[in-house]
Amino acid sequence: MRVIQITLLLLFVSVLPATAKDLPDSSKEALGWLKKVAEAPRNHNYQGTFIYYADEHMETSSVVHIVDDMGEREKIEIMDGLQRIVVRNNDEMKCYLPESKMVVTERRWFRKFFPDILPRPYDDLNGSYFVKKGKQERVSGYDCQVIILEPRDNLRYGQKIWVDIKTGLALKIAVLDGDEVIEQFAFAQLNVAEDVSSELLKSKYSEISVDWKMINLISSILENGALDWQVKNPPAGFKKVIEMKRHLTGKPGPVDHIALSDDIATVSVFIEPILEDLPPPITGFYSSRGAINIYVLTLDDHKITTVGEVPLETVKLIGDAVSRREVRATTKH
Amino acid sequence: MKNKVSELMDGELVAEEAKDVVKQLKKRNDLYDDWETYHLIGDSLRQSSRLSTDISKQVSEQLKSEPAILIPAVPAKEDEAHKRKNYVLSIAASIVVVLAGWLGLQTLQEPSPIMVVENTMPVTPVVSTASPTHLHSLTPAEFNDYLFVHGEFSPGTATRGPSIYLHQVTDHQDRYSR
Repeated sequence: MRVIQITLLLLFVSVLPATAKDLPDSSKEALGWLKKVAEAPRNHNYQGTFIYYADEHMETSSVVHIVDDMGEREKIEIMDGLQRIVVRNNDEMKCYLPESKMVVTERRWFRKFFPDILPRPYDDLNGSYFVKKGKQERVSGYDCQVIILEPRDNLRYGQKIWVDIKTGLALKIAVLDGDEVIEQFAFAQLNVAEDVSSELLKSKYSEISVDWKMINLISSILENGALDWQVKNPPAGFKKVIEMKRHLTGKPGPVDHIALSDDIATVSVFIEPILEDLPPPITGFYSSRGAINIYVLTLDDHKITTVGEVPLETVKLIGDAVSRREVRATTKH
Repeated sequence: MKNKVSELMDGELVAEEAKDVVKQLKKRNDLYDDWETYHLIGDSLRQSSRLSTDISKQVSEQLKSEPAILIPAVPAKEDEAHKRKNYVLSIAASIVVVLAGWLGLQTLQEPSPIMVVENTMPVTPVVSTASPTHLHSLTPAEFNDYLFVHGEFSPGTATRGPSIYLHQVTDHQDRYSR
């Protein structure tokens, strides 16, 4: 009978809804460290190699980052597998894909590139995360202060950030599901210096790629509420960041894209009409590598795909919160 | 020839000689008896606990005289207890399977309430009207662009060409228990 009791208990626990944790306010000191992390990429030049690790998959990338009177420029080259070089000039990004002879252009709408992952400002961060100081540890030869972002509910993952004490750069970031590390970025080698040569920013494909196929992913950034769709009452802490219309390869028309964030995690909602001559979309939950989860549903002859580095509950809540606007606003190009 | 048998035992013969002696051993019973006797003496001198005696004849005689027993004998009391234990365990297993199946159906057909919290209030729970969800297979290529634009080309989370890693979540029930 003990077996039955334990099984019942496990099954009961497994259907419990999302719950909030009773955590104190984040200290000013810990939040101050995050301010340093957010500002550091605007104050320092650096060159290095970092590693992404998730689900026993490892990917190495090299990075060159320069801030000068031309603004912020960066080149990231993924060293493993298919070649991919991303060159960023402030918020304009070009991604060179040599194997397929393609250049994809994109506008940066949220900070995603390690170590530049924190937005500015982030006043509401304390509402979603309890930020606290951890120990001091060394990463790649640099003395770091560990800052822990503990989620206040189970709608988001935790973060552990190793902050270089001298420059404020995040040298290592771990995304945590409870105590389990689900993905990790870390510098294997880093050189923070004033004199990083801007020659290093050039892609070796910048000249030969003139004949390559050019794809502009964004057709238009829209004013608030310009799309026919909205995410009404998203989960606590999540706010809309941007609305866009996208050109996606293989799609006959533009796809609506609404992005939300809780200042740390981002969630994208893609909405597109269901085409009559194609098989009907397959709804359900999917999981990609690391922290990414995906939820597909259909509504009013449209397919709604919600993608984000958040738990399944959260992509479901956001996907289910999508609805049509009653009055359509004008579009700004 | 007896000397040759002794030398064979001590490993003193070359290959050709050894072959001849083995042939003779097979043919001549007296030599074979000597072979067994020498081994017995050797074991005794080495004070071996297991003496080289041929028990094959005794064993085959014993087998002939005893009936073959195919079912192991179990004491009657122990057998009853064993049956009772199996019966209880099978009932318990059936209950667990039925319960698990019922709860699984509940989850798929009538999803458990998930808390939705208002935008302005961090922890005010409201029950959502979530629609039923289904699990199906899906080709990963469909999500390439979504992940690519969502990740802003970011390393790790963006596309990896045709070999993109994407798997359907079948353990969403477990994931909900976090």
